[in-house]
Amino acid sequence: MWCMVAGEAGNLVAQMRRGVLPYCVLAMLRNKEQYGFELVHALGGTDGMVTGEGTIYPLLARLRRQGLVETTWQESTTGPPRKYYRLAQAGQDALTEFTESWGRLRDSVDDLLASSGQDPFR
Amino acid sequence: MSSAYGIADERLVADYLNRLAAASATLPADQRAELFEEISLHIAEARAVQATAGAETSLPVADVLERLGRPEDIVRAAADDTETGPITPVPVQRPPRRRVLDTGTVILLLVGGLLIGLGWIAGAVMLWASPRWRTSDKLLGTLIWPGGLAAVLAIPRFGTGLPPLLALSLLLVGVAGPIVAATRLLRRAWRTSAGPPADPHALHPAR
Repeated sequence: MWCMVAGEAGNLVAQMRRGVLPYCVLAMLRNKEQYGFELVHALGGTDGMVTGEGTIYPLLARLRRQGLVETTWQESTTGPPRKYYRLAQAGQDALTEFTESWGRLRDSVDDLLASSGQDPFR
Repeated sequence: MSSAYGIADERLVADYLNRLAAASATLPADQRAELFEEISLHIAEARAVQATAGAETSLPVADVLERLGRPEDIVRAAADDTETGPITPVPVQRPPRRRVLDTGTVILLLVGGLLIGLGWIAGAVMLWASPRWRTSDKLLGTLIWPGGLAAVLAIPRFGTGLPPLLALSLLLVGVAGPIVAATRLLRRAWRTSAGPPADPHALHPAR
């Protein structure tokens, strides 16, 4: 069980980020396929979503093994060949389901926090 | 850019990739190769960007490697699924038909000789054709005994001169053998068709 000691909220937030990160990656692939370098940089731009950029690659590999994303190779004139990731149907379904769950969770937590007037996650 | 700068870059990248190769030695071979390829491509891509965009607008190699993070951390993320969150994996479903097929094979081996003359032979053919069992299991199922339970029928025919105690022992062994073999075959089949083992970390998030 997680131990809620004051000051450990930062660790909890890090764990929550890790939990939602796969779905964030799926969401980024919703509209167009992207290659690893692109994804990494887009995520790196979003405040604090990743620790080391390199950890995205094991995540992408796992999503592919789970059938949530598919990959294709494309040659590039300006650099090395690129492995493009796109959302598979299973990934689309997972993302849809997560979006609903996340919305409900977010709303519940926001309500609780608003009513209590405190923000333990900061 | 002077060539000395280029050589220093090469050294940094080589050291980094060596560390990655060493740290990932514990990963399954295909994952290790895939990770190595991806990281190498990432670095190559970053350097291609640097070559085309110029040193002012792109990151030096040292920064690229720093942003990638320590190879040990990347490998840990690869090794530990909980690092990146609990997604329920698409379960590997063995179709139920296979279980029926496996059970049918074992039943044929056991009693096929008794009910339908060639039933045991059919069972043996299915046994050897099945991907479910290892060769050692298949040998077990075939050699103990040919004919399955029907083999005990041979005892009265060929053992008329035997002392009753010996005949009884043979009968018991003759019956027990195929049943034990059949049980083992079934256990193996059902264990390997149950799907991937539950993730032991799923209920205990890493702190």
